[in-house]
Amino acid sequence: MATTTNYGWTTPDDTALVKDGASAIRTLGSSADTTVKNLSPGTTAGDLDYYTAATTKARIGIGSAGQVLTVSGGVPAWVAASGGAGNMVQIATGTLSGASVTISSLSTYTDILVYFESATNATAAGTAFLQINATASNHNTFGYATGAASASKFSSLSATKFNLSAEAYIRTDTTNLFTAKLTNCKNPGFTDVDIKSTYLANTSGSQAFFNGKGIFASSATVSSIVLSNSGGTWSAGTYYVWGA
Amino acid sequence: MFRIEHNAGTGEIKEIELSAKEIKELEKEYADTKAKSEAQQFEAEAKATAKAAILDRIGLTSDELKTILG
Repeated sequence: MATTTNYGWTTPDDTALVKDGASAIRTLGSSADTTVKNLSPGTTAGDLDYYTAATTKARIGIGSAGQVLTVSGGVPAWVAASGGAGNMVQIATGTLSGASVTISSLSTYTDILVYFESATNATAAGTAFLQINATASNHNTFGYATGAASASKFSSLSATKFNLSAEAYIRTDTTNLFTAKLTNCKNPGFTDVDIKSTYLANTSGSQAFFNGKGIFASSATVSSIVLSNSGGTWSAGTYYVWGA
Repeated sequence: MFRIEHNAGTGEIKEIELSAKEIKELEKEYADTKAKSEAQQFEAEAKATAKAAILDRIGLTSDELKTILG
């Protein structure tokens, strides 16, 4: 059987019998149909087609508002437009409750700002924590707290999660604010975490300020964050998450 | 005991029950923190009591001592 030059469709030979013409045309048409569909794989409004090989295409669905087209692994991919705090939008807010609060579906954001305020728990004074990707590794906090009975320094407090406060804030006092800004959330190697919190210190009862720097030493994209405290389940407080 | 999962993509908020193992681990963490916090509080109070006793013995108030040291 003869074949076409580019796509190898089967065509009748010059010596083929006329009686086999219908079958030959059907085979050729089927091959053409398959090829045309492969060259135009889109199925949905907003789809874009791109080559995955010399003669093979795939589709990528339309991205979300605020996303831009970039390259990931040699193929097109939609990602959140990077750009500083000015482009940040609020992506989640809610009430602190339960043993922890996980905010998921964050992998499209390059920069993430999370803060929670008026936080209390039902059991005992404790330390506020933030954990990335529910992974108990690769977290390193370097911090400095003032305002307590004596100034305290901390370094490499815990590899399992980031400290957002020094040990420990008063559980019954709601005058507190814990913040963490995560940058380079999609950068292979590390994510930078800038921590600034204020709360009432447990041992002295005076207002404490915690300045911390965190490094999430992992090539994983930040896809979720977990907010918890070591004193007990959350009984009050409001969290806000912004992304860009 | 439960935990909250908030999907920032869809806005869905779910309460997820913790397993017995997770509850046990959390209760241990909470108990350890409480013990540590109480020990720190006890230490701070003991220090303050000792300080007050010394001041009382030498007949000075805390403010008078600050003036002398200042």
